[in-house]
Formats: sequence, structure tokens, C-alpha cells
Amino acid sequence: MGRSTKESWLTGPGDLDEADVQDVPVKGESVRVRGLPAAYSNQAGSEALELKTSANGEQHATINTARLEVLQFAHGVVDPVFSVGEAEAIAQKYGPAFKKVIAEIDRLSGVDKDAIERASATFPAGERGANGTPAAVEVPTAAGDS
Amino acid sequence: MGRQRPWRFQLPPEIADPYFMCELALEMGMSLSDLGRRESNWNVCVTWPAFFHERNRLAEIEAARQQRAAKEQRSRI
Repeated sequence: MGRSTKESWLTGPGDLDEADVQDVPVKGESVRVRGLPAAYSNQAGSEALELKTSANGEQHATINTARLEVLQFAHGVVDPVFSVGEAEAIAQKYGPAFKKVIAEIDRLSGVDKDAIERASATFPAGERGANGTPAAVEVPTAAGDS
Repeated sequence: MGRQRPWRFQLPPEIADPYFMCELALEMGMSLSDLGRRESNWNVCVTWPAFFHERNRLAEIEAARQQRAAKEQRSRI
């Protein structure tokens, strides 16, 4: 077995699942989509989470789901390639076609609570946050309110 | 990895914990952008958290075992 080359990593097709979404945005046309890369989480974490402070001073995060879908589109559609700005414009212009693409990206990415539970079952059971990371949710604040 | 973080909110399952992403990048010796390009979202949301959780759990079990052994040894002396 030979050593892989830098070239094969950089220019290879990648190993994320891909599929075509047919008849978008119009009948007879299609886009190529893939399962989301980790870069999506990086950007979603910084752009789609909005921290709000309630009247009693507690901070809560809300998710801007519209922004999440725009980021999903930008990271998930690989042919043709769209920037985040372009994905934003598309989200404003298309309804069902945009949702159809997002649904396929969701299917390929396959991260939901069931998936996390299935993966966790690979290892012995333990406490885990909704996104799989230990102690990522409902933890005491630095102010020591627990 | 997996210490308690000074915030409280529930992330959707398809978004990896940003703190965990930084820890993973440090552990793998790569930048966040490299990690973002080279790993799938599935891995950073599902596979790696499950692995680190289990690794931490086993380390805690081993630490407790060593503590018990040390205590027993002290009591024999």
C-alpha cells in the first residue's frame, strides 16, 4: 500500500456523502450537495447563535434558524459553489426549491439526537449533552449560580 | 476535554460545541479552519464527542482505582 500524496488529499473528491437534487431551482436542472463539513459548525457557532440577556440577567442563546439554513446551503451545495452572501439571496428568492436542497443536505449529514444516541451506544453509556459533548448543556455559570 | 463550561444553553445537535471544537483542534494539532475542512460535521458532533467522553470516563475510573490502591497501601503500612 503506497503513501498518499498531498495532492490526493487536496484535490481529491473528499469523503463526505454526496447526492444530486433534481429539478431545482427549475425543472430539468439540479445541484450537487454533500454532507456538511465541520466548517459548518465553526461558522454556525459564531454566526447563528445569538446571546440574549433576560430581565433577571441570565444569558440565553437562541438559534437563528434562517441563518443556519443559509450556512447549510453555502457549505452543503458543492456544484455549483455558492458563497454565504449568494446563499442568502437564494433563500430570499426561493422557497420550496431552497427547502428541498436543505432537506437533502440534512439527510446526508444525518446528525440528530437519534444518531448521537446510536453513536454513544458504541461506547458504554454516560451523561452527554444534546450535541454529544459531555457537560455542554445546562452547566453552572462562572458566577456560581448552582 | 469535556470540562464544565461557563455558559448555559442548548445547542442543536447538528452544531458542535465551539469549546469542544477548540479542544479537538488543539488535541489534533491543527487550526480550527483546518479542522473545519478536514473533518465532517458528523465526526465533530457525534463520533469525537462520544470517544472523548469515554476516554475521560476510563481515565476517571483508572484514577479512582489508583487512589484506592494507594489508600490501601497506606493503611497496610
